[in-house]
Amino acid sequence: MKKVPVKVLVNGTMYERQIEPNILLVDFLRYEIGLTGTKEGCSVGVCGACTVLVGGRMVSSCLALAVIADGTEITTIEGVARGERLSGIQEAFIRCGGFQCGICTPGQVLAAAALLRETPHPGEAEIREWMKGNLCRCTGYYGILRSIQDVAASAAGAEPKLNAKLNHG
Amino acid sequence: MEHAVVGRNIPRVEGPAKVTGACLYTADLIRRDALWGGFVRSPYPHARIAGIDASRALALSGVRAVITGKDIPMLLYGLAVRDKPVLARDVVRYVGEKVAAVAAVDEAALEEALALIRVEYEELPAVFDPLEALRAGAPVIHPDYRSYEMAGIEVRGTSATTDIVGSFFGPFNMEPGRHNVQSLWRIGKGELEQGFAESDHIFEHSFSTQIVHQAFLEPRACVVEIDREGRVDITCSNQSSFTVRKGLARYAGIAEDRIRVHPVAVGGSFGGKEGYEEVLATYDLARACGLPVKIVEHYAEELMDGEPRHAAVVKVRTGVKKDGRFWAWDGKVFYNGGAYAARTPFIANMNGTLRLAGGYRTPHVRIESFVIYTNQLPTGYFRAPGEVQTLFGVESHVDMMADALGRDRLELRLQNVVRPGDTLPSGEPLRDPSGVEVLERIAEVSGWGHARPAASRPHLAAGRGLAFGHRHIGAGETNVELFVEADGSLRLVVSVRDQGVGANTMHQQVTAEIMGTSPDRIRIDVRGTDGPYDEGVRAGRGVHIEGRAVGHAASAMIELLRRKAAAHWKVPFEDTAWQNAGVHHTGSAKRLGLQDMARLFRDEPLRTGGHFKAGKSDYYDFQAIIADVEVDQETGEIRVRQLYYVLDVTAVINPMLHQGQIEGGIIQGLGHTLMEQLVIEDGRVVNLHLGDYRIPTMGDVPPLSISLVKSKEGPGIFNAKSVAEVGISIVAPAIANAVCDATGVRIRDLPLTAEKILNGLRALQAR
Amino acid sequence: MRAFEYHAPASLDEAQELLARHGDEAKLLAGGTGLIILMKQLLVQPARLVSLRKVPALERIARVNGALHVGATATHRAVEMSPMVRELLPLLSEVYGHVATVRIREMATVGGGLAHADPTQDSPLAFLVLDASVRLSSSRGQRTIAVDGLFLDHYTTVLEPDEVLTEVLVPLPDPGTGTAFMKFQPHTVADYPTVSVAAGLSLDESGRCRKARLALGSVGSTPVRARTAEAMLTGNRLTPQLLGDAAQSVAQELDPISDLRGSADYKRKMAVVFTRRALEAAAARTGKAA
Repeated sequence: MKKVPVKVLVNGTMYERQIEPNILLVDFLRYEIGLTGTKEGCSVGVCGACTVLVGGRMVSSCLALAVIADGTEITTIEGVARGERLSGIQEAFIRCGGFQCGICTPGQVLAAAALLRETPHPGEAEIREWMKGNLCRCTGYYGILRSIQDVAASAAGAEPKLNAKLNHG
Repeated sequence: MEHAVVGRNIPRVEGPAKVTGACLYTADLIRRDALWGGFVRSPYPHARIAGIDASRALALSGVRAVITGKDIPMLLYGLAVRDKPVLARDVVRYVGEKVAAVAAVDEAALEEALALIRVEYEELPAVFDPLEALRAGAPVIHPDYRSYEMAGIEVRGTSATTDIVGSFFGPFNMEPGRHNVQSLWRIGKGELEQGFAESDHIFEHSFSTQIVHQAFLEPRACVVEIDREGRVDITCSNQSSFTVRKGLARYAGIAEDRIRVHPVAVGGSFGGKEGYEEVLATYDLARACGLPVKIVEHYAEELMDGEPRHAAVVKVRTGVKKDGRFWAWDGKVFYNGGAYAARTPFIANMNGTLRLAGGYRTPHVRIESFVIYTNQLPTGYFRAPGEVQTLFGVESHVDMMADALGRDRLELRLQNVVRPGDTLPSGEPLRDPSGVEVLERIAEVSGWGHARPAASRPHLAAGRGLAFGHRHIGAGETNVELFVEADGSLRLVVSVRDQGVGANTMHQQVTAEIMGTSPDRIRIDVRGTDGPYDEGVRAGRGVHIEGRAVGHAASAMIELLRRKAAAHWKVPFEDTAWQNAGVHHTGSAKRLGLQDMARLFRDEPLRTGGHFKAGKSDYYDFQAIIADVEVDQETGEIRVRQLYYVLDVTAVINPMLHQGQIEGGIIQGLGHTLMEQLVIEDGRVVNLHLGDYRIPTMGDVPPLSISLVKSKEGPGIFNAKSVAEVGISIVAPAIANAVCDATGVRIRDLPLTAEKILNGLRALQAR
Repeated sequence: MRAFEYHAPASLDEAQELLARHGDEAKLLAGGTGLIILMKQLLVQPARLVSLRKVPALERIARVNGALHVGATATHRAVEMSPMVRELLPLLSEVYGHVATVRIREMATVGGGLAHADPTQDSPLAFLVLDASVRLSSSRGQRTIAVDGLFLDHYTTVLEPDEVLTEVLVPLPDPGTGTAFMKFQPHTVADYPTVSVAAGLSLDESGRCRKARLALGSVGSTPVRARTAEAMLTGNRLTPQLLGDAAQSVAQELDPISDLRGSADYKRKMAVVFTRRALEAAAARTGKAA
């Protein structure tokens, strides 16, 4: 099997490799480059745990050959924070309970980032439609929805609306 | 009582790691020297292994080892009943059973090797239905059942000496004439036949539930390394480091202190990662190769051979007095345990059995629970094990009785719910029950009995359904250690593995509350087996077992520091007090803060331990849920428009973590109610990926309104009660009840599909 | 995945040349959402992959005379979000927007989807209703065939091993055409459909149906044109009774299989229900054209 050259910018760092073409992007990122923040869950592009951004667009890295990354710019979860400074979305996930076990969280954060870049103030229906491609088994999604609404609202300067009402008796 | 830290939403200790991808899970361990491991699996549900030819696989340059059942220790594995060989020996009993293990230099070589291993099988008759498996003439799946050992239970003669209520039958004392029974459990009180004789109405119904998988997004994985001196290092996706260590020590015949299990984050378990068979097989491979071996299962393997929830048939027969009192209750449940009992802990049965008569004060009760062998994949624990199944039956049945009696469905429950002074249907004691308050609250928040939302369109029918339940608070054992560091901060050492519930944050809050410090002055140091003994995460035991252990360590630390300060000041111990995170000499201005003491006593470790072990307590959580649904009468499709949920609580350590457990449990409930099922044809799981085994997405979740009722007492730290396994069990009956309310169609088997409802509607129209 | 040789030709000619030489052992790669799964499951093991990534202009969406030309490597998302498609062919934008999830739509392409020929797909239904055709190109030349003649069986099209599907040609609908799309996913919003239906109706000056197009998915080994229903509607007034009868007639034209999304009987019943609903919606939209 002839190796193929790949030149890709990942989180601002250039990588040049000769790789076998049957390597998946998720494995290239995790094992070749060592960025294990991207997770593999279902392996069939359904759960979204392997989501990365290629040219700013969401990609299931478990369904993408690494060779298609040639000439592209990729953002993985490791590229979201600026050094020690977490992004607004990351802080919202912590503040609003957007994760529990954390295995889906890298994919959720990147998907949310892509959403808010395209639609800075999405309504609930838009958030659900966009995020239905990122499965979570722990949170029941309410915490993730609250986190995204929180970022969207603080960008707009409005009060965040909560989807689940809680009354302490 | 006012708390300073408890009751606040302090952020999770592991937050930054999880949102940046820095948090490590087992598959993230990159070991360039590790081999890749994988399994050959049986394609038949029941067969003799006639021969295994691995020669072509072994000839591949990238393959380092192929092992089969003949190459591994003869020991049988099991969390309770030990009946499973780690790799099949002579016989395979379900599709997917591991027959051979392979280690290769990379994934490509592994895949190639797996395809080249030839196994010859002679098929045997198989049985898949649990009721059929009980009948005479059914294939006997474990002819040697009565010779099996049972872990965790002390057996003297033919009885089990545990504190399990009722009568229990396992390998050591199974009733003669029975076959294909993994465990049998009978519980009851009163005189059942007398109770039926005294009843005015008798209602009998049966129900069934399906196999569902936990569907955590991290398939199980492990890395096993044996060093040159034979010491073993393990990293694995599992609920308990110590259980794995103990199990491997027994399996491999080596001392526990030669094995180290490392802490690692787990990508969800929900009870489904108690088992560790794959760790044992990986150990065998590592031993055969002299190199570390890493196994990361494909998701298909998880669906084919994980530890899913038992399918069940539930039969309930209830005698009712004409004034509505439940008087006699006969409940039977037949759980499909699959081909091996090995994956079911405790007594190879489940506490869910105890819910077979619901949370009602019926005086005459008999409960009988079978876990049955079939040639399907072995089942295990999944959030509220056994209870999702039994409560689907019970709470549907209660609605059906209410309708037959012409009674309001909530009123009938209120009339019969357990009250202070009652015992539970099992005869077990009950303290401070809040069933009445929970039912009254849900009536209030949902506007029960008043006009409810009308259908939003003409072809839709609107309905409302209620379900009620109670749940025990988890038992177990844990130890923790608390240290004052050189800078006066605190370090809490725990071996509780992070499954996602937020345990470590709870530990931090409890410590901070008792010590009077800020949470960010407490570091949680998570260890594996080199830390203090922890039995393992399960059963909603966090605030009870872990919380109390942490509480003890903190209280003990306060006492230790007071003693040391008193000795230092040469004053009586009684003249000291703990205040503002320091020791004060009452009556003078003398004070030593944590930093002062760290400096003062720097030559001696300021360390305390906390230990807590308890069985099931007499306190229970009480919960209720109401579902408002719409049913499309042309298609049978259900849309859940609103959920109301009520839970009783005492102290809520961290409201956001607490709410997250409720929300997660309820949506898992929604999943098995409407869409989840491992579809099995001739013993073969058909839907082997998450595109075909569908779990709820963000698009599926209905608006949820949560209301908490304040109770007084509980067994956990600060009287807390548990929350990790609530919500999930009562969603299905509530929605089934709502569908019946909307359409008159009663569906008695899960999941509630549109097709079943449409067939029900057509049948009603035909009448 | 097994080993393969990977080619990323820089032009359509180069791609076609590769297929001419290696056609039988080569597969074209566009978004990969269909093919890569099959390769991971070892169901398909091509010795060569020819990626269309670098072939220029293949992703273009352009208006050419009275038709929209949609390039084969245009993504689902691009079609869904294109202002031109939304304005001129709202049915197309709507159908593409219903596929899977946003993330998959960012990867999966128009041409890749059609060539994959999964019978549960939605996009062919829109193309059938819109009387679209596809351009197939090879080193031997080009041919244009109606989408109606593209599918032979599940996962099987008329494409020869050396052919590339380069674009879909979609004539702009007559003014006054009402279209509708229904996708029935009863258990979760992110599932393969139990049944899906696309309908297009246009009226003449007297208010009778001049043209009717009805396509159903997930009810056969290929998408189904409900020709009996179309014939019943053409030339007549679209009364509720007629729409109901036409919907009823589709039951005979279907050959659904029982699977995880429903029994054959249920799918047949739902095909009738959703055909009626789609026809009603399309009829209500006639005369409201841009």
